Amino acid sequence: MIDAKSTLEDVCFDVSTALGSNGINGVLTGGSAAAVYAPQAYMSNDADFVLDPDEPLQQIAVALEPTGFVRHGRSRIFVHPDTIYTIDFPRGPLAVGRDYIRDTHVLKRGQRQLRILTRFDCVRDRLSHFYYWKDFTALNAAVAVAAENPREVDLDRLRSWTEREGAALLEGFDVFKRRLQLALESKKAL
Amino acid sequence: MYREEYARVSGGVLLSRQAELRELPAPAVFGSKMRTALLMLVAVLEETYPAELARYLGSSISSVQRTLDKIEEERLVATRQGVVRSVTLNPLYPAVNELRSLLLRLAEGYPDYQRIKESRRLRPRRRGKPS
Repeated sequence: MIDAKSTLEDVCFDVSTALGSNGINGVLTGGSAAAVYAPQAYMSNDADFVLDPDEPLQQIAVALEPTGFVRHGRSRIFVHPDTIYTIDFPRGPLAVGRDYIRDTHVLKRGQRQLRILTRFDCVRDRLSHFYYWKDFTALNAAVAVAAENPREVDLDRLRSWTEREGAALLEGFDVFKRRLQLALESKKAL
Repeated sequence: MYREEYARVSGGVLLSRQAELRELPAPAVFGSKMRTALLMLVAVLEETYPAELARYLGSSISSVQRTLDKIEEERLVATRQGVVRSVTLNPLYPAVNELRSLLLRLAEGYPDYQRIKESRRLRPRRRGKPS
């Protein structure tokens, strides 16, 4: 049950489980996915579930009814009377930069589950926002997720993807790499 | 169809600041002529804002805002709210390069878009200078 003490992760698990049990494929993306993978380093108050394929919002409203989330007006955002967290349903298809995403990850907690971008795709997703919008909050999130999960974030693959997106973006990748090195060094020092 | 002032074109450059169009031609490739014309304009102008789009489309700003809201929801364009709402094709849309190529190719078929781009004043203008 969602209440004022629920964390973003608690809320996301409940929402994802409710969607899944109604046959709806919603994948947690954006800053909220980064907040799940690196909760100490990054915070978010809204969860973005990309619907892939897109589903009518009336159907989402029915699926989320047991969680207490209700649609906010005619928007794609759902709110809850007992939590500050909001749920947004951006339209699919699920993509990171120019790549369509087919493989996602499922986190489990007892009977509940959370469908979410893989850690690698989560870093790419945040980086793409940094590359195209110069969003340094997104850069910090990418660094935080990569520093928390260094084995799952292959820097060579990340660099190749960045180059495919556009050679001009490699400068941004170098900034990311330097910040990640600093983050990993300070983690070691602790 | 152009307003009278727009017809006074010399070498592709507009002579009048009253250069609005009543109706910008476009195919209905993206659901309607209005949506397609708006997307073609965004691709041609690279970065624009609702009042400029409304002027060229010969439409009201509120109508342009409504159309923008819809295509932004579909993630084809991205808007950023500053002093004005700046509009670009969404660089995070997975098919943005293909979309841009298609829109620019479509725009090549209508000289008006090129004229608009060339007539657009981007250099600074001293305050108080008569137009």
